[in-house]
Amino acid sequence: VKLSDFRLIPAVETWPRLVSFSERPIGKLLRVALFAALVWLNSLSALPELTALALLFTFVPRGRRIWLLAGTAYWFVRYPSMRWDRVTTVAWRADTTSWATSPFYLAAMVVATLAFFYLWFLLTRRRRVGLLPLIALYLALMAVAAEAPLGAIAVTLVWSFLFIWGKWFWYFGYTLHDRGMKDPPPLWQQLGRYTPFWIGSTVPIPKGEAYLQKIEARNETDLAVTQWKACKLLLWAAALKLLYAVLFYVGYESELKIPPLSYLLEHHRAHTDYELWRAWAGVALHYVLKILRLAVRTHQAVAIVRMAGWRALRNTYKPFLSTSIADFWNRLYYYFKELLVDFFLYPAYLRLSKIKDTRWRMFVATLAAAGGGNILYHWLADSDEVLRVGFWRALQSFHVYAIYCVILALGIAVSQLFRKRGPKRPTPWWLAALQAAGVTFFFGLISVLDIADIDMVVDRSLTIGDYSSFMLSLFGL
Amino acid sequence: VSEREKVHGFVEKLLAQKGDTRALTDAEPLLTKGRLDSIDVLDLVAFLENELSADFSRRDFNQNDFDSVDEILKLVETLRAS
Repeated sequence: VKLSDFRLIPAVETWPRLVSFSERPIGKLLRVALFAALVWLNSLSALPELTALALLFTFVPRGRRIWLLAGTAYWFVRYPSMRWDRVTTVAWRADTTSWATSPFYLAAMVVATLAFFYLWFLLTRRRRVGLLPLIALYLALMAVAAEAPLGAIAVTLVWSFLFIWGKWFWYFGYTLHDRGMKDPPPLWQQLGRYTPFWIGSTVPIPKGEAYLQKIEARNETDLAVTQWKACKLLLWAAALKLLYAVLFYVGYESELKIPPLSYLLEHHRAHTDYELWRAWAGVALHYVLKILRLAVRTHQAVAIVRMAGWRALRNTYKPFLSTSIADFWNRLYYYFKELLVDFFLYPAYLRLSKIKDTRWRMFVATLAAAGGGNILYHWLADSDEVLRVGFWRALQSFHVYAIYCVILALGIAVSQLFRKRGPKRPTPWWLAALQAAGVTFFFGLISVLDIADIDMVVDRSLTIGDYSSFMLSLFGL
Repeated sequence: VSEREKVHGFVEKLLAQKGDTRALTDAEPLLTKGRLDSIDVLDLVAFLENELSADFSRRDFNQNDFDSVDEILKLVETLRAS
C-alpha cells in the first residue's frame, strides 16, 4: 500500500456490497439518517428542512428539479441570503421607510428584477451578446444611484433593484451562457438555481444549467454513490471546522495572542509594530483560517448538492499540495475560477485567435480573466461600500484589490507560461514540498491585499502605500 | 489517421501531462470528472483550430461541449455545419 493511497475517510462509495445495500429502502433511510446526523455535527441551521429535502431527493429523485425549486423558494423566505437590511439602509436615508421596507414592496422588486431578466433574455435571444453590456449597465446604474441627484423614490427603487440584481447577477449570467444547451429546463424551473438552498453566495455553486444536467445522477446506483460521497464530504467539513476552532483558539485567544491582520495593519500605520515573529504568525494564521473557512463553507454546500443527486466536484481540493500558482488557483476556489473562465477567459482566448503562439495567447487571456474579470466581479459586489461612501470614493479605495488582482493574474499567467509540456515525470518528494511551500508563501503574502475577503475587517482608508510598507516590514525593511 | 484518432491521441497527451495514464474511452467524461481542466480546454481549442480547422467564431462557446472525445467530435461537426 502506497502512502499516497492512504485516506483518512475510507472510499465507502467504492464498496459494492454497501452500495447495493444502500439502494434498498432501508439503505436509503440509512443514508438520509447519516446525512442528518452529519448536518447536526456541522451545526448547520435548518436540520429538519434539510432532512425532509434529503428524503425527497432520495426517495423521489425524478422530482429533483421541483424539490430544488421548492427548497430554494422556502429558503428565500425563511433563511434569506438576500441582504434586505441594505434596502432598509437606503430607505432610512431617503426617508421612504413607510413603504420601502414592506414585504409587498420587496416582493414587487423581486418580480420587477425577474421581469427585467426575462426581457433581456428575449431581446438577446437571436444575437450573441456577452455579459459586458450587463456589467456596464450595472456599473452605470450604481454610479447614478450613488452620485446623481435623484429623488427619494427613484434612489430607493434603483438601489433596491441593484441589490437584488447584484445577488443574482452571475446566476442570470449562466442562464444566458447555457441557453444553447440541449433540452434546457423551463426558465421558471431554473429559478431553483438562483441562490439555491445550499448556499447564498453570489458565485453559483455548481455553475449553471448545462453543468447541472451533465452531473445529474442517472440511476439508483449513481445516486447512492453520490450520496455516500456527500456524507464523506460533510464529515470532512466537520473535521476542518474543528481544526479551524482549535487554530482560532490557540492563535488568537490563548497565551500566544497572535494579532489579527487588521491589528497588524493598524499598528504598522501607527508605527507601533508587533514583533516580527508575531507579525508573520498573524499573516500565516489569517491565511490558513481564511482557506479553512472557505473550505468548510463550500464543502457543506457541495455535500448538500451531492445529497440532492448532482455529482459536483469539490470547490476546494488540497490547495496546500499545489506545486504551481496556476494549480493553486484551480484548487482553491474552483467555482469562482470557473466563473472567470466561462465569462472572461474563453471569450478573451477566442478573440485572440490572431496570436498564433498558444502560450502567449493563453498568457494574455489569463491576464484578462484573472485580472480584469476578477476586478469586475468584485467591483460589482462592492455595492456596500458604494452605498456607504459614494461611487468615486469607493472606487478609489478599491485600488488595493485591483493591484492584488494584477499581481495574482501575473502570477497565474507566468506560471502557465512555464508549464511543462510532455508526459509528467515523478517529482521527488522534497522538490514537490519545496514547490508547495513556495506557492503557499506567494499566496499567503499577497492575501494581505485581499480586501474583498468578506470575513476580513478592512479599513478602507488604507492605501497601497500602507499595505506595501507593512509587507516590506515583514522582511525587516 | 482519422479525426477521432487525432482527438483521442491529443486528449491522451493532455492527460499524460498531468500524470494520468488511466485508460481513456471516447465516451468517458473528462471535465466533470476532473481529469481535464479549463486550461486543457484552451489547448484543445488551439488543437481543433489548427488540426481540424474548427472555427469557434460562429457559435456560442460552452466548456461542457468538451466533456468527452465523442462530444468534441460532435462539436467539430456542428461547427462545420454552422
